[in-house]
Amino acid sequence: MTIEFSNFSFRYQSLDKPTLNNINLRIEKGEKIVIIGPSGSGKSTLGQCLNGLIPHSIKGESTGSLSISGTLSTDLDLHAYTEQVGTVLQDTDSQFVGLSIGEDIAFALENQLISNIEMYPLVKATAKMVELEDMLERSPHDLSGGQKQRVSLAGILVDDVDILLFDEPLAALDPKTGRKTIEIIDELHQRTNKTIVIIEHRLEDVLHRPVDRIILMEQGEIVADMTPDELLTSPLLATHGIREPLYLSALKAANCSISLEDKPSSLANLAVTQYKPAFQSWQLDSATQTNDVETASLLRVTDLTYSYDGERNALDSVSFDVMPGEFVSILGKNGSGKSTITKLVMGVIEPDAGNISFDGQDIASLSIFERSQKIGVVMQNPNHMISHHMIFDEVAFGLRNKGLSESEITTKVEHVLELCGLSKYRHWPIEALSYGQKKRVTIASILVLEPKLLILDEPTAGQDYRNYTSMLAFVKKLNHDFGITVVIISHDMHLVLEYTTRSIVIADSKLIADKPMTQVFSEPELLEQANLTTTSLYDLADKLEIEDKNQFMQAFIAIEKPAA
Amino acid sequence: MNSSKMKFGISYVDTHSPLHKLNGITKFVLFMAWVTVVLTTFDLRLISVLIAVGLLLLKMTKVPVSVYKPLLIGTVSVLMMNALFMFLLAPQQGTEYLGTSNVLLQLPGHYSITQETLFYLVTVTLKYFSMFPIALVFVFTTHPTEFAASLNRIGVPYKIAYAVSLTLRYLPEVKKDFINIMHAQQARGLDLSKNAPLFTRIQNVAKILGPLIFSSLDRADEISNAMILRGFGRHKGRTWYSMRPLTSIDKSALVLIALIVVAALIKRYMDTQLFWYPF
Repeated sequence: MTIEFSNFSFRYQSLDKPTLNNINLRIEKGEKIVIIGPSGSGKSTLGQCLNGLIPHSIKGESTGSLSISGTLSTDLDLHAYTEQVGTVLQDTDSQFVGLSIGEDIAFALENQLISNIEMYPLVKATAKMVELEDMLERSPHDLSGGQKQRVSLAGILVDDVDILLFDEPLAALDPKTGRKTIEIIDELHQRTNKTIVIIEHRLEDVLHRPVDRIILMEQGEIVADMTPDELLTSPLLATHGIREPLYLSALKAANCSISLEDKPSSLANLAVTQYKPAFQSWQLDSATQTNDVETASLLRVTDLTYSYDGERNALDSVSFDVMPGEFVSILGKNGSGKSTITKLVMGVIEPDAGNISFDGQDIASLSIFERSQKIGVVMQNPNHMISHHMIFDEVAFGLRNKGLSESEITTKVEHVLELCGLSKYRHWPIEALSYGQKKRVTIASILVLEPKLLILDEPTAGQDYRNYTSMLAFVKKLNHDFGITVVIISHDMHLVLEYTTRSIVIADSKLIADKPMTQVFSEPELLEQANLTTTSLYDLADKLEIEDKNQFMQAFIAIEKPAA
Repeated sequence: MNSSKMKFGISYVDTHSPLHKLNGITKFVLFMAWVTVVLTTFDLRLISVLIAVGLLLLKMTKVPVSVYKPLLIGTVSVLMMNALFMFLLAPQQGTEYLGTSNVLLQLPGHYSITQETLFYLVTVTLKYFSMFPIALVFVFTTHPTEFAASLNRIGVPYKIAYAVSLTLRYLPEVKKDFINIMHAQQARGLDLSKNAPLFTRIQNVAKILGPLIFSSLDRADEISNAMILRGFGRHKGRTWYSMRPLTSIDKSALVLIALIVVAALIKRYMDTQLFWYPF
């Protein structure tokens, strides 16, 4: 069951340039491969060539050859593909077509005309492989993201395919569930010896369990095909905009030299004792941050309680303050109540109890629009926010609703577009933009209203490292230069570590912590409670037997900051 | 408590009642037969029996009354309004159909209330109402994919039948998208509250539909890819996980239903008068 691309190129019908360029790649039976690369590098296209969507469902022009277990792709019809390659899509909601778990797992069997007497035991056995056998009757709305993903996995395992393809399996998962997913994939690989191909740009999370090879793609070409250790010791990650594992950044920051023999791909196997001396300076000094100047809070949330159904509280008596000029993160797993806070602050729902005040003024009586002049909320999915055809109109929308004169609007919009680096696109239609650029447009359309507080909901969702780093650098600049207070809602630990100073942790509708970020990150039990994981920075400190991990992280951030 | 928070869901509820154990096909046939019988008759005796049986079946589903109470009130009030308008538009329709005229209350114009008019309106209203309990029974006790499977079994192409179940699967997701989009637009000053004039409000709602349609189309694309990858459309037919074989109870129920429908049709042909009117 080998896969072989030779001199393979592909061009989408609607594009001028090929998306895949002269790909030569051989994947042996039973290998576990990770394909990484920034957005637009062609890694998803490569996946679509593997599962047969290209050329059967998505049209385009290809040259060179692709063969799957000795058969040329041109001789395979779509069903021959599906018999060999099972795909777990990024969006598990789209893949979950059944109305219950059992039904969804059975979907492929139904399409193969297998009688339902044979179907039941097969479904049951497959569900057992992913630990879902007791929930066959459950409907998709009652499941968490991780469970949905396991259903997707079972849905393709039921078919006994030889190759499993995962398209960005971690994109929508919180850290702990993501880790679990990687573990399940690994167990499956060891038990069944299926060929595994994972497309992902979150390298550190994938490397939680060993992989055989990493294929690095950029602009439609393969730029590296090597073992994880080789890749991590090469400078390729930095040049191609892939986030390297945090512990490696820390080791490099402390000027440790890492060689291939050290096997840097897994922190667990890395002999860290040799690096101990290098970190000595990290544990000393550092004037403990005491900028606790008493100021009036900008946003004050007091005893906020809300319930969607009148039975279970989605938010239970949550109180916290956000000070002017802060960069705060709200952490918690999906469904913990994080986004309910945003909705209450926006005013689209009204609290059952408690109140919210901004700049000392209770905002209960303000309309949604009045609030948005003070507090700008950037939602996760830019496609939900954009309602105009042209970029200029999209950004001007809020100002027009405010009733400003057209000349005033033009000045303000142009200023904001300039600030967001979108000036040259101002007369472009929005459809021509990439996902990351659209996200920028939505930020611009909020910033133009000149809010004092900016709330970003999952800012990294759907974006690669390069894109979101530049976006957050921009947000950071807003925070630093213009004093705009920023709150980010996220479960991306890396992001939180890099940018925020204080973290508010929500778990099961309750606020469980409100502390400096490094302190939150040095308490594994607390993180566990919120379905988060410790970062590898913490794990490194742990391995180095450093007592004060809080201090260790602060030292790391202090070193990294100027570079950012 | 905010009224929008009230749970208002008319959908499949598994209460493990005897009706849930019946096959989807049986229930679908029952529903269709019921509608057929109701459409053929203007006989108040038969209609009363149908309502009584319907309500009994509804009780048998073990679904608490509170779940469908709002719908019940809604349906009854709509039917009442309907009766009122029927009277206002054609006040003497009953007298015409029934052939006699016993005036109960003398009113100006044609609007005198006759015994026949009242009887006619009661019959028609109850006739409509008699479909209400069975529709609820069907929705409460039939799993949507079982319904799709039944449709397929009675000859509807499976791609169409599956669309029914997919609609029910993704409706909540579309609703979620709609709410997100609405919130985002409201935050930028789109006024959907009562403060805006009605026409502006309609225009503003239209602004939400654009992004909603685009995001739904994207989703549809992804879903269809996911389905193709798992072999949907591969063969001319497909089997159904949720399809159950007909049990002996189902078979006897089906025979009984067939007999009743035939009887109702015969009655319709034998009846000399459209309405049953004892007075």
